[in-house]
Amino acid sequence: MTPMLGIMASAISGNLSNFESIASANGTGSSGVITFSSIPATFKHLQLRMIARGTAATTYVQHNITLNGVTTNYFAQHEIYGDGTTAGANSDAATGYMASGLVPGASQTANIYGAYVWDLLDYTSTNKNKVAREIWGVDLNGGGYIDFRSSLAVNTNAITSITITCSSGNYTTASSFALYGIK
Amino acid sequence: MATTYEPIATTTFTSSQASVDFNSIPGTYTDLVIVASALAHYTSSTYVELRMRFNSDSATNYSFTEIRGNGTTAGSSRASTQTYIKGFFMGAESTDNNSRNNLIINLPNYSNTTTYKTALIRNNSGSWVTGATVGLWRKTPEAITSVSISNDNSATGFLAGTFTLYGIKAA
Repeated sequence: MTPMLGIMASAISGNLSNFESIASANGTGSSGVITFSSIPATFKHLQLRMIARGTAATTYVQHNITLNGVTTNYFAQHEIYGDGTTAGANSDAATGYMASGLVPGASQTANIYGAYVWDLLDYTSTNKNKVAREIWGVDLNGGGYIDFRSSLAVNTNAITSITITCSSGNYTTASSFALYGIK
Repeated sequence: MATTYEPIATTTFTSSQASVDFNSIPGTYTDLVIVASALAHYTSSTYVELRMRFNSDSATNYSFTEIRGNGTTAGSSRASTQTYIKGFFMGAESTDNNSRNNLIINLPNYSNTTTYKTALIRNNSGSWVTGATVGLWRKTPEAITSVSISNDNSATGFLAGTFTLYGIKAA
């Protein structure tokens, strides 16, 4: 058994063959929505690995993540971040989505993409609410953030779909989204 | 079923070496992950700052933003227009030669030729800090085919450890 130490922010261990690709998608430039549906229940945990940039003419947009198409009862989103000067912490009020990382918008230097590793643990449980954890970062050669984040979905259903929505505009064609299952 | 997550190369050493280099990295994966358990070779401090370079590019194409906590305070810093990604740390031999510090470096979508490359780094030092760093490489987009990690405080690099390069392949 080879320890699977390479899973960011994870203490999960096991054989490397127990980390499997489920599906992947790329941005189109004309849509701000990526959906992974019909997620099999054969894993213990899920991991999303992404790079992204938005088409909106702004400095940042944001990934908003919903589970099973539900748009209510997301709470207690907490983050610890570094902005290059100070380390800080925030929490968000209840929203209709799990707030994920900031995504560089079209106003930023061309070709800069954010990187995101998002974990959803015990996603098939039918008696526990779901908590996601994430590490993400954007460096702009003079700006940006490194960030740890958690989000709660008050939802005891098994998760069968994940939707990632760009808060404004669309995802560029080089944006990349990959969903993995961990047994 | 094809393996999704697999080791590409491992280097283990028990005497000092100036850097750890992974060369001729195939472009057949979606992401790369480097996992290290090691000790920096430096006697003048309890820790060192590490640095990383891609494809032997020595131009000022690198920058980083980092956050760290040392048990007393949390802080953040950044640097732009650098010749390496820096801002990640490792405990050094002056504290305890038996200690090993872990380091996890994610290089998502490393082989595309259309985007600058962003690295996500987690470092955990037994003697000093836990932290995370985002690094940017702004060279005209090209696939990453080599990674070199070394010690920014001293050319003596690392005293002991294991570094493994993994590839992750999306469907």
